[in-house]
Amino acid sequence: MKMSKITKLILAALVLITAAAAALYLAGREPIPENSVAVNYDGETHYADLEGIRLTEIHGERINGKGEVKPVDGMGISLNGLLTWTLSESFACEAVIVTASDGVSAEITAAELAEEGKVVLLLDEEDGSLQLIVFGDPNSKRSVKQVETITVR
Amino acid sequence: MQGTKLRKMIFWALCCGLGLFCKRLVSPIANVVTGWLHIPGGIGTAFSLMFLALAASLAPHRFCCTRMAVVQSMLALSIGMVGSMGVLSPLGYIIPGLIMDGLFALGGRLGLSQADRLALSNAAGSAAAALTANAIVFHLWGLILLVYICVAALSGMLFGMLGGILAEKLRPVINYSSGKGDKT
Repeated sequence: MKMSKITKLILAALVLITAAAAALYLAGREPIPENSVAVNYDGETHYADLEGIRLTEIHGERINGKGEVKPVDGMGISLNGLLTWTLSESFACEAVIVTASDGVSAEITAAELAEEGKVVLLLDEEDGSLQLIVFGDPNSKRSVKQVETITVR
Repeated sequence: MQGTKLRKMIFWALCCGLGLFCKRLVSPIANVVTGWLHIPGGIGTAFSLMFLALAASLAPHRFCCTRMAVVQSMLALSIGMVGSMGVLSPLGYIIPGLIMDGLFALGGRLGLSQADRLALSNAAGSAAAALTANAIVFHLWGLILLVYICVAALSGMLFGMLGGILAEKLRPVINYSSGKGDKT
């Protein structure tokens, strides 16, 4: 397979840029203790130890991207419950941003957060991570998996 | 002539199917890499797009990649393989297809070899797919977006090079552009 010099140069440039960007990105990530979720509130970072959280049974239905209704069954905690437990105080917010380990995030409004049973974090029994479930969403766009950071605004 | 056209279409259909379903074959390995890099994907799509580039190289036709992308998107919609893009998932197939066709045409005008065109069009198509997915679903920005796009483009280029090797091996058997492999 013969490749021109231009293609080889583009490949070399891509390798260098990818390596540099990945190194910068990984070095800049806040280290989060294992089995924990970081909660950013009022300029401080708190850590919710997932092993210490009291989980309850979650049952419900959600609509996926194909419009199919899928049952949700498992152990989990409401987002509001996790925040109250972690922050150990009453907190005020306009919105909550839930971010996964891969950077994908979803925004939850204060009204949604206050609605009982609407926004929950479901425990993934395979890897022990949490998944955001917003009951009543017309699709699963906010079903963020492997929740890593929660930012209270 | 009719035989060549039919064989071309069969080859395109085969590549459409392979592109659509082979993504799942590389997903476990791709997920290890993307999980380590903390990005939402980009590698599996690069592998999937390789089959479009391969078809455009071995059975060239105007807007070959776009046409195949349209077929793939219709197939994906009909079997419910829409992923998190939902009803907008056809954009995730068609936009990369258009970019790949553009790169193939540009490469032809610049006199680049088939291997170059395969690698560059697959890289550009893969980056375009990542940008489309980001605009529709992920909404990433900053450094993480740069890493995501770079990984998609780099894996697109590497799979494009693999496609170039495959095309070189297959060209003596399948050559619809010059009729060498056509004995019907």
